[in-house]
Amino acid sequence: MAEHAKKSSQVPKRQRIERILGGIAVITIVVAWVFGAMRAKADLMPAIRQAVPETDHFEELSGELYRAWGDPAEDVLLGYVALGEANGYGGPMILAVAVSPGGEILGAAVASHKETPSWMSRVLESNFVESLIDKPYSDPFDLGNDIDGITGATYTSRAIAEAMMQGSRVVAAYIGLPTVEQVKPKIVFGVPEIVLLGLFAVGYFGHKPNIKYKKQLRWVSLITGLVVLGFIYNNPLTIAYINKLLLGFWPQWQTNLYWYILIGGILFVFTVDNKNPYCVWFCPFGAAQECMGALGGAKVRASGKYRYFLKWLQRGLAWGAILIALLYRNPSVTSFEIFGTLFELIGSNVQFILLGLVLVASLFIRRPWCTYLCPLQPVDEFIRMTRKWVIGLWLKRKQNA
Amino acid sequence: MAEKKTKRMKDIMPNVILVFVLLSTVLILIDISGNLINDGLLQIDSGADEAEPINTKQVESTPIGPTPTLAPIGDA
Repeated sequence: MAEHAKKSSQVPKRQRIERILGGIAVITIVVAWVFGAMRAKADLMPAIRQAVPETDHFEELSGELYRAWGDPAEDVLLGYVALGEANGYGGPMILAVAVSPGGEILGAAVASHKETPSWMSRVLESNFVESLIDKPYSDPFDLGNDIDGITGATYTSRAIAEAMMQGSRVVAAYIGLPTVEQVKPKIVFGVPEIVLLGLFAVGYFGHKPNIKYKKQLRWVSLITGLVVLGFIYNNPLTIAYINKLLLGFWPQWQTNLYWYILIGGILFVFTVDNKNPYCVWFCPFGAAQECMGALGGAKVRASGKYRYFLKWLQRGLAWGAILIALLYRNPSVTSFEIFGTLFELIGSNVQFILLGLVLVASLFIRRPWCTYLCPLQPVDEFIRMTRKWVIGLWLKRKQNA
Repeated sequence: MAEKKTKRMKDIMPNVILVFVLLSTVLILIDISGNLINDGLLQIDSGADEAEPINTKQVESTPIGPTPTLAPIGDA
């Protein structure tokens, strides 16, 4: 009896501690955000120099526009350099774009970016950037039409093209070349967006208690997520995207509709139903682990006496990843997920070792990544805790009124 | 016998999970540190008295594209 009373009094105490620590986590994240925002802006001059390496000296025309002279007497004009900015996968990307006096692109240099290093290298090592050289400023720079993006790095490719277009048009406007009418960005709505909406519908209705063939439906949903969102489009949700939104790097909705549907859908179902259909029903990496589990006969394994230690370790990892990203204002620098490593076979040696470890563990333990390591799990728990807290406060106020 | 085996499995599993998580965490920390070093956000002590300012690598640019052509202006 006494033990039961002790146990029941422990639950609210643990809940109180979780709320206090949750509050501390939020405060530290806000502080990191403020410190990050106060840090000095990057010096862009090295990139400007490298955009036209033969330059003798630059004449500053405005903060974002320079004239590149080839000799000290200013007789040989090499061209102009302007800073073009666009939103990549991880956040803003600034390019120093060199443009000829006739309005053609001469070259470019990446001044700053927030992309995942291996993805950025993939784009820079391809011929993508070279394909943009000599393009006139009046070109639409439209990915998919007059430019071919790099498979698996579409957002980075699009950002480079947009930044080049923006920079070249700044120069064109300055030197008085005919202005080009700004074309409104096209709404990108294709297979991944349609599949995502379908998966949300399946996930939302699928977890209702009276649904027949729930298990089969869930497997269809998981396999679709694995193949379409994982292997074909490589669009799983990562902590980098959460960081990006926290940092205020909200991308253009027209070209990032997929992400708005994903985040909006998760928050909507969470608010209405307190369920997370993404993780359970169609997360591509979760599906990959479940497939491995089906092969090896994986089960939910109890972590026994280490339960709370492992829970808080996972929370600590997620908290640290968000904190550092906000402090350095770089969303993808702490994104340690190994999704791209599996779906595109891109990543460091460490990431491949980690992937191997997780896949082997998935044979015996059900979803080991999701249960012990995924940084999105603590975010999920935090939203759940806050929702419960707010509803509790609201009900209390209603009762008192 | 089978019961004994199940019990033993149950006893061992938490330790196996702990080893898996700790190993993975070490790899994750190495990965994040690598990213921070590559981006110039984390400096390894090179014997200098003062730490280098953060964010130095980020301004390091990657030159792309061919050599620009010269366009002379003014009197020949």
